[in-house]
Amino acid sequence: MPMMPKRVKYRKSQKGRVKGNATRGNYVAFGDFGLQATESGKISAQTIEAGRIVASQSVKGGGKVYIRIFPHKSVTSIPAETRMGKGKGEVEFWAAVVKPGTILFELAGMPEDQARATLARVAYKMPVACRFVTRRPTL
Amino acid sequence: MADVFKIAVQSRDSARNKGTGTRVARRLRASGRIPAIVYGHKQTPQPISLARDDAWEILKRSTHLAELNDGQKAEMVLIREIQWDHLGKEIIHLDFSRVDVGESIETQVRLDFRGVAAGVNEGGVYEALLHDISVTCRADAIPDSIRVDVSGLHLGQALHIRDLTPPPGVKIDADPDQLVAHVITRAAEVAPAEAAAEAGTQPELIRARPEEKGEEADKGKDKK
Repeated sequence: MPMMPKRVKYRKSQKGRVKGNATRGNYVAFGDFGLQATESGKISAQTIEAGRIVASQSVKGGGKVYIRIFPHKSVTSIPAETRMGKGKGEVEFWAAVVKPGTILFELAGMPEDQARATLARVAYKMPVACRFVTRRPTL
Repeated sequence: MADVFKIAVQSRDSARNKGTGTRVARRLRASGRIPAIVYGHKQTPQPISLARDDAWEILKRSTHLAELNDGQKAEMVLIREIQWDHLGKEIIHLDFSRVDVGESIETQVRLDFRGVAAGVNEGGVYEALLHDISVTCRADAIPDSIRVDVSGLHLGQALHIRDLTPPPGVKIDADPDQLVAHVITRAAEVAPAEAAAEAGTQPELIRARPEEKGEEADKGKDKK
């Protein structure tokens, strides 16, 4: 079952537009390597789950996978061949809003070449362009 | 401790050039310079700019101290903060704090993990939970990094702050019981079907139920 919030104030949300760059969650914070989005978009809970499955299959328990995004936004749709009106459609899926710079997944406890291979497989599942990143250099 | 890195800087005086502001900062970056600021010691903050190569050299050398020279005077500074762009590719701003060489200061020092944990060969997963640490020391005694040998870590064992040996004159400002690294057993993969059983199909709504509202109204009536 894909991820979704446990409790929400309002079940349906307005569509909105994804503008600007990520100012938070844009650096590798927990692991050693990360997958960073370079485009904006919405990533559905199912896609996040697909990424998680691929990552955990690839690391085979030999490392730790961190998921840095959560699907907070509900996306609704109206069934096909339905007349317009009669209110907003039903919730179809939940999605995470992603801006350029957002770290999607992180990996720890594995060498860089293995992390690169794993995150390349995860990136293949993502609907946005991604790149492999390491921790920012600290002094 | 690394050598003090000498950097030639230019002031961003409004009298001499266009001064500060977003546009000026953008123009500076386009011309290969990085805006920065120097503050501390109860003096007025001074906006400056430095060459991009010099900023990257600071990172390359992993030095904490720098000597800034604007052509008139040289002052010793501590690199306080580095601001990156949203993708973490470019440095967009630097913060320098004025220091005296003998002054006691608080700063972050990188942890340098050495060796392969023995627990990894025993089937465990090594995980470092802390990558840098806050220390207090004299400005001229800031270590480049604190070396941590993890080769003796077996499966199920952990390394805490109290196990670290900082260089002489360096005091670690952290809880001694805080975890630095550990070797844990490999986690069993959560099957999608199991995950499905845990979660519901729709999130719960955060609203007062109509019954509760009714009860509250009744209570109000009773009081009256």
